[in-house]
Amino acid sequence: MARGVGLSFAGLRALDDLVFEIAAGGTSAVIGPNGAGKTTLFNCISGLYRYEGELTLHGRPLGRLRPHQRARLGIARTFQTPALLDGESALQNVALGAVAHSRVGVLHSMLATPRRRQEERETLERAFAVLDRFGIAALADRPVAGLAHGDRRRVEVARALMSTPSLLMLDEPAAGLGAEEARDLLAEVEAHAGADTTVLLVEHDVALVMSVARRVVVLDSGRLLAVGTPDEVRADPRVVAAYLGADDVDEPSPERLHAVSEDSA
Amino acid sequence: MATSISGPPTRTEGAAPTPTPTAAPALAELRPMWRRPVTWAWTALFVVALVVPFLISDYDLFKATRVLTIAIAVAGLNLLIGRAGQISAGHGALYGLGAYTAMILVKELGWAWPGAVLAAVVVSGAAGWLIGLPALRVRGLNLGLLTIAIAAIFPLLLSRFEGLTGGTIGLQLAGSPITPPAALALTPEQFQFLLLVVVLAVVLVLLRNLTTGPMGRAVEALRVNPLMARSEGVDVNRLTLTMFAISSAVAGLGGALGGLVLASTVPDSYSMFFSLTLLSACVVGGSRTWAGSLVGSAFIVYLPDVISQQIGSTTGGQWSQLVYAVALLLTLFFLPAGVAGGAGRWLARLTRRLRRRSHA
Repeated sequence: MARGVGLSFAGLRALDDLVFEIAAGGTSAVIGPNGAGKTTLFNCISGLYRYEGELTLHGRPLGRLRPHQRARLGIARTFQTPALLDGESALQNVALGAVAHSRVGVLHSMLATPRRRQEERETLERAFAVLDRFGIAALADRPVAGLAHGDRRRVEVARALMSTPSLLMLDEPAAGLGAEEARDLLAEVEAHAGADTTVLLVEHDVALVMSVARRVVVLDSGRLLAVGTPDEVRADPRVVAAYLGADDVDEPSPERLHAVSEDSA
Repeated sequence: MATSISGPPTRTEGAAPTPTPTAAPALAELRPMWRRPVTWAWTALFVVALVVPFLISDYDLFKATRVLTIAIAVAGLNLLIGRAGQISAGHGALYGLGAYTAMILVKELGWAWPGAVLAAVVVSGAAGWLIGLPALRVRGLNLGLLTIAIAAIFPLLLSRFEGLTGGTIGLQLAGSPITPPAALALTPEQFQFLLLVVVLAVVLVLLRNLTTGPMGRAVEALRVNPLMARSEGVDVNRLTLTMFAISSAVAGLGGALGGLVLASTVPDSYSMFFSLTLLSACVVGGSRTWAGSLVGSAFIVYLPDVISQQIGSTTGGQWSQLVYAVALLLTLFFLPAGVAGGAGRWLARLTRRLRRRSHA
């Protein structure tokens, strides 16, 4: 999927010649210490940053496509802190996700033509159904500004699913959630997204990643450290070295890596 | 539950949680229009407006017609500022552009007024699209300054191109070309007022439709978080230009009708001060409510009159500017959502309290 992707900010090499591929379908994850370039990679894929090299989505080169064009191709994402329409209800927020495939232009909107009314009805009903699947249908007409953090995140993920994406990128979906809650959310995402959707996570919680991801991409200071199944990555000496070498208290310790491998063994 | 008479029911804040969530969604968004109190309030207002011309004098009607033409321009400004989150301190120039375009077409080329008004709408829309181009790069305060420059340059341009615009004297017609058809037995003032009521109603319905549904959510995303809007699939650049064009076309429509009703346009009417006055009408009325355009417009049209009646005409002008500034500050401090926005919230709170009491 990525071939030689590179990006520099004012001389700082943020991403350096990344080459990796993620199998279509199922959940994959990007991990790495703080500043490894995980979110930067997401911003490149969604087209918010210009980059060197080439990204392909299901064999289709993304080239210089702008963000909204990529969204219409089926790339959806969430943000590290949920980016919602704070004045609007949860339902309206989720319905925004359908805007990428809206066939209603200015004239149809202004004149409230049957086409617009039909699309609007379908969108709202579908948005309600997605909220229902995430178990927050009761919050449908509550303004999202007052929702709990976990519910805001659910609303954002529900919005991303509204566009029926082929690539769904979740930027730290577990941040601010309990371990149980995070696991449930990811399970809901996988169930709702279906087999055709590739889910790509950026995640700090290595234990969580190792248990849900089929394929893991490890970044360190913008360089690709390892790609492979959780077991392969865990066994990779460079990954172990990187995590051993990290003094940062927040970073997962090698004990945790081992704990996970014992669990799954 | 639609919440206010001050604006179309675009949001559902303050609504009670749906009691049976998994059942067929009984959501405000899906409720038919005729069951919303807002629809009834607007209909009542419209009916009253149709009766008014037969109750008050032609002089008062003339003033009220001016309120309506300016309300159209303020509604356009509300779309841009309140909905799309852009700023324009130069809408007075677009109002003036509409007025001049219509006047030139009627006076010099002998066009019928409906054609001239349509052409004015197209011209101002195109001008707005051009003004939107820098808005793709410049935002916030800088965009405000840039559009203020447009407002400042416009009267100078009018004086410069004397051959077309009549210079500082402007353009005058012997009488307004907007006259009632003989069959209707109305005075010109009555006809003009009724025409403006219908035009304003149509404009408000179109703008309200534009800001709800799929487009409305895209516009909201543009205002709240352009980065998020992009990754949701909104073509932010195109939408920004579209909003500038529509908002300016609407301002031009108000200007064209205003100019033709008055049968006179002079550069002084479209000074920078007028642009800023429109901006304050937008703020005082409430930029996120459509009723705010009427409230704000009435405020800026009637305030100078009220002041000069109270104080006497010699010093009235200065006093009116002072009262104006004080009113603007008071609104910003105590009613940040504008008069109509504040009234809407208060009514919403009241109905919620009443409903809770009836439940208990």
